[in-house]
Amino acid sequence: MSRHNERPSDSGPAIVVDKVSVRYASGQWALENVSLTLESSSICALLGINGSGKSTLCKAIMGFLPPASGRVAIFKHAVRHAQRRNIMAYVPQVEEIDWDFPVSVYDVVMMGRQGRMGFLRIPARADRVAVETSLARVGIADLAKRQIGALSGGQKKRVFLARALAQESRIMVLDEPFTGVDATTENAIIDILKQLRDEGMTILVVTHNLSVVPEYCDTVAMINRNLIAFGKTEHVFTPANLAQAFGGVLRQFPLDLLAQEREPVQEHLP
Amino acid sequence: MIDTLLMPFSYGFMARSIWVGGSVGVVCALLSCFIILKGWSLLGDALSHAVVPGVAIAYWLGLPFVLGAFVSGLLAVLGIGVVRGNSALKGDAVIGVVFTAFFALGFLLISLNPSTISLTTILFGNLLGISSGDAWQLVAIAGGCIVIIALRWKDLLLYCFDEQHARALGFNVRYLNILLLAMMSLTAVAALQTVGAILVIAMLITPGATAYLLTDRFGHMLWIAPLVGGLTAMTGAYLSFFFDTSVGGLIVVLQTLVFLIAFMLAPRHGLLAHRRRWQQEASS
Ligand SMILES: Nc1ncnc2c1ncn2[C@@H]1O[C@H](COP(=O)(O)OP(=O)(O)O)[C@@H](O)[C@H]1O
Ligand SMILES: [Mg+2]
Repeated sequence: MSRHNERPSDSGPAIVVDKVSVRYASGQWALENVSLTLESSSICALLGINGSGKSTLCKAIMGFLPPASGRVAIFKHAVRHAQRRNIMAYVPQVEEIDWDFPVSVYDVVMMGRQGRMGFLRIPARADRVAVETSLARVGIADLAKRQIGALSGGQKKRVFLARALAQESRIMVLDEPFTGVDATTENAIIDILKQLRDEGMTILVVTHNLSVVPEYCDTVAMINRNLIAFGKTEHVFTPANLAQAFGGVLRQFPLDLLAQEREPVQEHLP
Repeated sequence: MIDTLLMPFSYGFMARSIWVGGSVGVVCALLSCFIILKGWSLLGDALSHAVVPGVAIAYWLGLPFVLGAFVSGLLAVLGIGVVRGNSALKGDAVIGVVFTAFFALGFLLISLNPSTISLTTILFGNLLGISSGDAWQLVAIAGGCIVIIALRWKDLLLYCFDEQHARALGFNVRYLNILLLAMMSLTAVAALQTVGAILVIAMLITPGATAYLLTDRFGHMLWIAPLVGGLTAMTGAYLSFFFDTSVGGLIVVLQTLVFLIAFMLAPRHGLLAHRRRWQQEASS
């Protein structure tokens, strides 16, 4: 997909989160002093237990929540500037969407193009092509006419991924795209994310599927209100950090990982 | 027989109330599509009551009532925003406090100076007795809002469906929010004149709810709802000539009847469709 909104000034890190703290109106501090730097053309996994502030961080980066202190920069500019340039796409958690809304899959994906349309928001040929390409890319071209509530969990995720694709952004933030989807959909989404990265996109993905993180993520961030660890996957995705991020909640997979890392020979045992 | 049926049209006030009622019905119905989907039904009710003090003051000072309604509607919304942002109270409680406060203030102002506008007019509307000056204000409101919705409905839809995405695309959601609230204030005051403060909320919800049952495409709702809203309002005004009843009551009863028919017979969301689906599932 072409990146016609690219500019010479878009060098350097794509996303800089600088000592960001976020507080909700209820008085709850959801993030304190979190700093991250995401280079362009990379995938970063955002890990943490429920309520650790992952969604909050995504929203602060997207500019949906104003930080109480600290700042977010997108290609060295304020988030508002990036919003106006239409270079950030957001794939929301399933719970954030009203699935009874009377819109079809096609309508929703077309909303990814709305920032590019003229005053009356009438889709041009390029918009229809982008929507059809995006639907095909995530494998739901045959569902275009369906009302969005009449879809399976995996199909719902694909719709919003397709909308983000149609937006042709340079940054994509995905909040739990793998929760409640089958392995086929998960692999399909991971393949697309890898392709997007290779096309130059910067991706932040919240996930609980730890086992596949090293396969496709260049960097990993772990938070629990504060930043626990951030860096290259091979440096940061360690048992010690995982234990700190997930505390006693760790079960199934991570235990395998811990075992593997301690005694690599185990792999070869029957 | 035909002569009897055509008789209402030979009276100027009847013809006027039919087309004024129709245009108010249409614009309320258009807005109702957004209101029910945004989950703003309670806010709509609040606004329709909160415009009352503004209307009273405007009549008092001899200003266009639309202006007064608009200002007091926006003040109420601001008040709701301020209280909500600075307290842990739930949204519906805040709305309840603010709108009853405005409504009470309106009552007080009207009872202080009952000669300009009567409490009955505010509560029950007065479509048949509407002055031609007021009629023109209502038609101007309706026309203005219909044009704005025709031009901006896609952005308003996006705002109602997924505000965050609208922001990510660089849209000014604060402006869309104010646009929707402003149109709600204006239509609330238009409906106030037609069916009265108590029934305004029906005009701002029922046609959209009916359309929602009949289709799952928003674009179609924007045709079905105004058709229902406009026709019921015109029929109500027309029938009131023969039956000596409250016009507002008649209009809202008609809208409810249409809603009930949709509720029973709607192809996908109706009661019969659901029953059929259960039976199919049970037998398969
Ligand atoms: N709208 C809100 N108002 C008040 N508190 C909130 C709100 N959203 C989230 N929180 C709180 O902020 C913390 C972080 O939430 P969130 O970012 O959703 O966590 P995660 O996505 O990691 O599960 C939680 O303690 C949650 O209860
Ligand atoms: Mg979350």
